[in-house]
Amino acid sequence: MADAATLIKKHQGKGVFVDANLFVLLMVGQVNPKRIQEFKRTQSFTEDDFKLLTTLIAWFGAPVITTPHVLSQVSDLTDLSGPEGKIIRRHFKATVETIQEKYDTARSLVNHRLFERFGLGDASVAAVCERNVVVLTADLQLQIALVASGLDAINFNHVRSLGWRV
Amino acid sequence: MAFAQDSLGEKRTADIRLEEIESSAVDGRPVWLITLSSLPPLDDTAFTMRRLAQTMGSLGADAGREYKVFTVSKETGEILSMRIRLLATPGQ
Repeated sequence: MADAATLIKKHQGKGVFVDANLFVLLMVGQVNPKRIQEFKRTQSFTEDDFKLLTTLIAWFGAPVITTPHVLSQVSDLTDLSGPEGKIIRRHFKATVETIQEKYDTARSLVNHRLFERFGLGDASVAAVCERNVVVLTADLQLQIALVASGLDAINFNHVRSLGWRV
Repeated sequence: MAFAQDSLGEKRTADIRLEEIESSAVDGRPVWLITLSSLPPLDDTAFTMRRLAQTMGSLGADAGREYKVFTVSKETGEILSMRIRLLATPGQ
């Protein structure tokens, strides 16, 4: 299997699929990087991880690719308390208006081989990855399943370890 | 990752790599579940058998790597437990 550094080089400028947990990190970091380690959904990340994520997304270039199923998860998971709850919704709206959504029907995705084990959201990730799109995720099980299927998926934690910078 | 190298030794933590960090709770205590992977020594019979099984597709994951989950207290940083993590590929 190709390592993270190889996949980063291979997909430079081709866009990237950002998985739900990292998408949440992106949103929270854009609103207030200080909240990353306080917010329950992002507390396993740091401000440096947010900077690394934004650097990686810039490296892969437009568009950021996702699915309506993942966006729905991200919307539900970015429930920041206080005034920043409304601000993150505005950031989410602005981001959604610039990304590329790939759509597969739920009827189609429930027949995907990953659906039974991973559910609809991750099946939608796999379906897009099958179109030669690299996936960036912090979910080890999903990354291994994608790689085992012959697809290009990068474990964000491997990139953290690399100390990778553009 | 220093805690893994301290507890397992250099020989069993070759090419150690961070794989995943999850937030959880054990007995009401907030913990981190930290998955690390490493390359066990090639002369380890159990490792050789595992690598053979992975080659045949029965275990999946990154062939040759051994995955371990460390449960670490968020409050104290203490390592509460360590276990092998087996990762399966789709269809298993």
